[in-house]
Parts: sequence; C-alpha cells; structure tokens
Amino acid sequence: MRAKRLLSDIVSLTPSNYEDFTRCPRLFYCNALLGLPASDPAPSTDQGLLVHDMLRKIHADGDCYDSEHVADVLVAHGFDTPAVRDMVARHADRCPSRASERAAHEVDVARFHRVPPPMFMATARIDAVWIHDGMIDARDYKTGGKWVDAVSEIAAAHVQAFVLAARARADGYRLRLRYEYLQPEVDEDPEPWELDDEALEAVEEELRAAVSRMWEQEEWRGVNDIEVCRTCRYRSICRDSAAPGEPAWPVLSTDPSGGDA
Amino acid sequence: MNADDEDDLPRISPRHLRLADELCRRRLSREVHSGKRNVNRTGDMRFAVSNRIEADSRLAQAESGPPRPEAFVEPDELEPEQQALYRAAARGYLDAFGTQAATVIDLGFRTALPELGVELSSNLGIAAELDNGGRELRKVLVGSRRDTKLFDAVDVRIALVRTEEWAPVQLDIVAVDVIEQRRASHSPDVEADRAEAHAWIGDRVARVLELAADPRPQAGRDCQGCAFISGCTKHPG
Repeated sequence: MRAKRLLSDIVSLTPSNYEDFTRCPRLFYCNALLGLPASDPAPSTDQGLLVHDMLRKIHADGDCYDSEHVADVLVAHGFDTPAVRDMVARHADRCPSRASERAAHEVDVARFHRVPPPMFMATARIDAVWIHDGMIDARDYKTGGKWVDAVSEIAAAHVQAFVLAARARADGYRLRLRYEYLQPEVDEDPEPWELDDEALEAVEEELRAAVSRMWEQEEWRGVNDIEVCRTCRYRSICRDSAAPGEPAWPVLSTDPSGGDA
Repeated sequence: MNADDEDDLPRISPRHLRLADELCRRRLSREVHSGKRNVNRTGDMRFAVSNRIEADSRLAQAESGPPRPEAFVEPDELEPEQQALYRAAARGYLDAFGTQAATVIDLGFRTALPELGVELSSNLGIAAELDNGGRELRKVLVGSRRDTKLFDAVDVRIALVRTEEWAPVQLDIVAVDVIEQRRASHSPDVEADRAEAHAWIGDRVARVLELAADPRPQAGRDCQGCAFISGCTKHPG
C-alpha cells in the first residue's frame, strides 16, 4: 500500500519504531502503521517493566545505594527477590546520583523536525536523566540480551539522542547516552555515546533521510532474511517472511465447531 | 439524542474523561473544541481490521437471527497480514456470538448531552437487540495486550449514558477479544448505575472544559499523533 495512504503528515518516530524500520520496513509497516497484534510470541517484558518501576520508586524518595531504603521499597511492593535485588545493586554501582545536581525518571520528551522536509515528530520516554559535571547523562535500563558494543550502534538511541539534544543545547549541557544492562550475564555495558554538535546534526539528518525513505515506500518490502525473520513477532503472517507458519493467536487453537483442537 | 448534526458542541471522548489532567492542554482544547477540523492529517489504517469486523458483524445480524457467517467476506483491499488477522477475528467473533439470535442496530458515534453542553464521542461497539428482548452492547477487541482490561468503569459509564433511550431498563455489556479469546461481561444496575454515571460524567466534563479553557502546550508523549502541531509554540521546528 502506498505510503501516502498510511503515513501521517507529520510522521511519528519513537525509539522502538525506528529500531523496527532499520531492522525491516515491513516490521515497521505491520506494527507502527497497520497496528497489527503480534502473531508470534515475543520475549516477555514483565521483568523489565517491574525493574524499571522499582528503580523509579527507589529514586523517588531515597537513594539506590541505601540498602535499607531499597529493601523497604522492594518489600513494600512485594518484589524483594534475589534477582530484583541483584539488578538494583548492579544499577547502584553505576548510578551517578551521588554526584548529580538534579535528576528525573521516566521523562517524556518530544522534538519536532520541520525543515528540510519531510516533517517528523520524535518522542521518547527516557528511563532516567541525571545532570552532573555539565552534562545530561541519560540512562536506558536494559534487562534483555546485549547485542552491540557501543550505544551509537543502536538505532533506538539515535531517536533518544535527537529528542534530548535540543534540551541539552538550550541549557548548555553536553549529552551522554548510556545503556545500563542490569542482568548479571552481561559483564560490561556498551560504550556510552557522547554526542557533540556535529554528531547531533548527523543524527537529525539520518532520521530525516529515514522518514524520506518511508515516503518513498510503495511495497513496504520485508528483508526476507532468516536471521531477522526467525525472531520477528510477525514471522507467521508476514507476506515477505523467511520463516512463515501458523499464527500463535489463541483463537486459532480452538475448533470452530466448539471443541478444543 | 443523536448528535450527528450537532457540529458545534464541544466533543468529549473517553480518553479526555480518563486522562484530561495528564494531557497537553493545547491538544485537549483543540480536540474538544474543533474536532478534526484544521488539522494535520494522521494515519488511519490502524483500525482497518477492527472497523471491518464491526461493519461485517452488523451486516451479519442486520435481520433477526444468529449472525450469518457469509457476511464475513475477506477484504481484498487489505494487506495479506491484515487478511490473516481478519480471518482469525471473524472466526473469533462467531465463536463468541455465533449462536445468539439478535438484530444489530447502529447507535451512531456521538450522543449530545444538552444539559452539559457537550457531546460524548465514542465507539460503543455493536448494539444487539436480542430476540428475547434483551439489550446487549458488544465491545470487540482484535488482539489487545493481555495485561489490559477489556473494559473499565469509564466504558461502563459512557455506555450507560449513551444508551439511555435504547436500553432504558436493562443492559448487558460484553467485551470480547476475538483473537486472544478473553471475555468479560457486566450487567449494571441500570437505574442506580446510570444516575452515578451521569453525575461522574458531569463532574469530569466540567474538569475537561476547565482544563481546555487554559490551552497551555506541554511537550511530551502527547505530541505523538497530535494533529495540531502547526502553530504550537513548543514546536517551532
């Protein structure tokens, strides 16, 4: 279907939908534009959401390095498990709160690109933002696997950098993005990304060019690459899938005549 | 009272009632007071399958009786992935409602509330007049997140207020996710709950109008999908 029937005048970019687009245009198409529910199981996000929520609550009225406070918060919410405690402790080792002047958690940021065309609106929720040493130190907490060695290689981080850049520039701060991997299996975080003006301009142009490519789409052709498709949440139903199959939708596991299949 | 001809009334949606205090007031104000006039065009394919399922469900019971399966015709104009979802959703709908004899009618998308000076705008779902005389509202979801409720207290209140003429003494609300096969139902105490719903909606509408009267922009998550970016001082570009 032609892009003109699908895209908004002002295209919405988020870290996750931009990540989708760079991975496979058809994935972006199915998810961001057609709004289809996943046809195949994806890794659960429950633990990640829980840890994000606990870190926000821990910082709301205390410090992550205060073990009594941490225990109080986790017990109060019924999540005082070794795994969660371990993740919070790993975060505390890297948290810049001691040196920070100001902080905010789960910050929603938006930035509009008007010219040169095409227009787009980028929005992102940043897990934590710390101000210290003349810098906005933005953190993204991760509880999944690590696939890259540097934050600059992560497409989602480019949208995060773009939305934070205007605020950093306006307040005279440098900008650094860091992904904190909280599970014990990951020894080392990817290299943080410190962006100067030149890098930020390059990011804006990269996003603009990507939106331009969206407007040129007629087929929204998928990559048809088994390495990409085998973990895709639309692999069963995607027109261009290299790993097609039967959707995992519960309704298809029942017998239409009434009994279980 | 049907509001399809009442273009000038402020238009209140379920989202406004639920979230007004958190929303960008500029967007809120424009959505309430100007509807979709003078806006940036936004994408409109996200509801193609659910809209089609609802439309075909209405056709399937346009006359009294159980839904006719042949009314669910696979839409050629949709993409293959949407067609796969449509097939599954049609099957799910027939699983959920296939044996229930009824006539489906159209209650429209808006209801004027002259006493509040606004109209409520929402998709009520499918309004079924059961052959036994009962009134049933069917809210059909096509693949919702498993951790979300199928309906909430706001849905019930809106349903009670908007169905006052159609279902004056009895109403069943049935919500079904036809893909995930989740189902929830509720049979409100129509008289008592409708009075409470009127009071609650009256209070919330007053709050929405109060916030909309002070249309300060606020940049954030609400900017995504906003149809009123042009002229917003938060986004000079």
